[in-house]
Amino acid sequence: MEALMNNKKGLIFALDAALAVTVVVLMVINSTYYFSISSKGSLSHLQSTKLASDIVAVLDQGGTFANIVYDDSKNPPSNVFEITPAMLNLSTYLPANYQLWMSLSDVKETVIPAFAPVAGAPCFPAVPTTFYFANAEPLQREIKAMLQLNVTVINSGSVALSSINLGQITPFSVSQSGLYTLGPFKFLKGTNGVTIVLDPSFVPTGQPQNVCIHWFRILGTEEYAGSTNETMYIQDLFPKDRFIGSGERVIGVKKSGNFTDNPYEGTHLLRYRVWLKGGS
Amino acid sequence: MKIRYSSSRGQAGITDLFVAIAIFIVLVTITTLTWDLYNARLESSIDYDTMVIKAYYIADTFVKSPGYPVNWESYSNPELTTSTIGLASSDRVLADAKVGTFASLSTTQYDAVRTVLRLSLYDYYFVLRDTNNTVIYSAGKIPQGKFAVNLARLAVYQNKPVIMEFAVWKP
Repeated sequence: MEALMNNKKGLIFALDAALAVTVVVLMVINSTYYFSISSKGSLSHLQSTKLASDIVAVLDQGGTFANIVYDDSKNPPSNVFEITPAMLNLSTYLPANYQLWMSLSDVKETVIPAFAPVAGAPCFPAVPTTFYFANAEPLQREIKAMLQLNVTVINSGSVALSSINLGQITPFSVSQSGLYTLGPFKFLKGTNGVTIVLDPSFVPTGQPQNVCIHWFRILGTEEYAGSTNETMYIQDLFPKDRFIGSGERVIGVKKSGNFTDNPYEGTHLLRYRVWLKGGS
Repeated sequence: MKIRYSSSRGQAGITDLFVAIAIFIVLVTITTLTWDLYNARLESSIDYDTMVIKAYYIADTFVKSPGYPVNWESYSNPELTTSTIGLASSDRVLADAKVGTFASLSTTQYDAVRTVLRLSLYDYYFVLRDTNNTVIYSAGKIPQGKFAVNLARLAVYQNKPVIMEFAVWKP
């Protein structure tokens, strides 16, 4: 037995060395491979994200998004809004093998249907009424956001509005027609609308109500954002097998000769996602 | 029989030793070659990443920043007084004078511009073209080395969309 062991010493040494070297080689290959793959991947992915960022910036500089907001303001208020390819002229900027999805906040409205902008006519809301969010869905989480109202004052003099389900709101005065932004308010999870009423103490006795609310929106929320493909976002149809670059940009919309009633319309959050059409 | 047994024991031990040494040498050779191969790949990967990072940094500065000093293009010797070259008057809007000065300096003071761009080990090539691929400006040295990183950025120049290409390459 001892003699047999002596004969195998060389073999055992060789096998031992082979095993050790194999382990070392595998470790070196693995570490180098993953090191190079990780850095190359992230840097090449950066190019598509930069491309989308450039396109968004160039469109913003050209006033494309301001025009979209302006055109939307001219149209009747609606809880549906889609950014079409014609609005963006993307084919000029975007390479054919890329797909770009965009979403622009605060372009949808919850319409208050009983609006009647004629003095003396019944105007809304006279009694507490709930108006549902643009997508008619309850909030999935608690949010803190601003409430924007489009108000028309028919008769002169200040009036006040108050809200019931947003307990923290105090009556606020409106003296002239335009957009009023209030808040921030806490919208609890499960909330699916806002209840608004004209404060009766501010209605002159024997006078018709002298203020109307056209619509409202909750600023900065997904419920009031318009996109290039809403179905894709709602149903989460974005590709799962490749890199998706994403980013956002705050778009400031100012008067620029279009908004004659307001020198500064406001800010809108533009979110984008970009990916390669084919392959991973 | 006893002598023959001893003799064969010695032969078996020597053969075993040769086999072991042969295997060991083969494995060491494989290890060394693999190590060299992956070391070379790692070095070129680091080199490539450095070039990409530099190219991104410079291209980003070109399209987003006016540079420092802000009016560097109006200095008599901008290649000596400028610490950062930027070509933008505002975000993604290129200034006519800055682009013109940069293109001119890239011809007359190429090495000085390269130093300002912190590209001492590399060369660069700059092209500004419109969306119909018509070249408006080209400056620097055309890539002809082993490694080249070419980035394309979209910007506005003279109120029109343009594509700014910036290449960093290693001779």
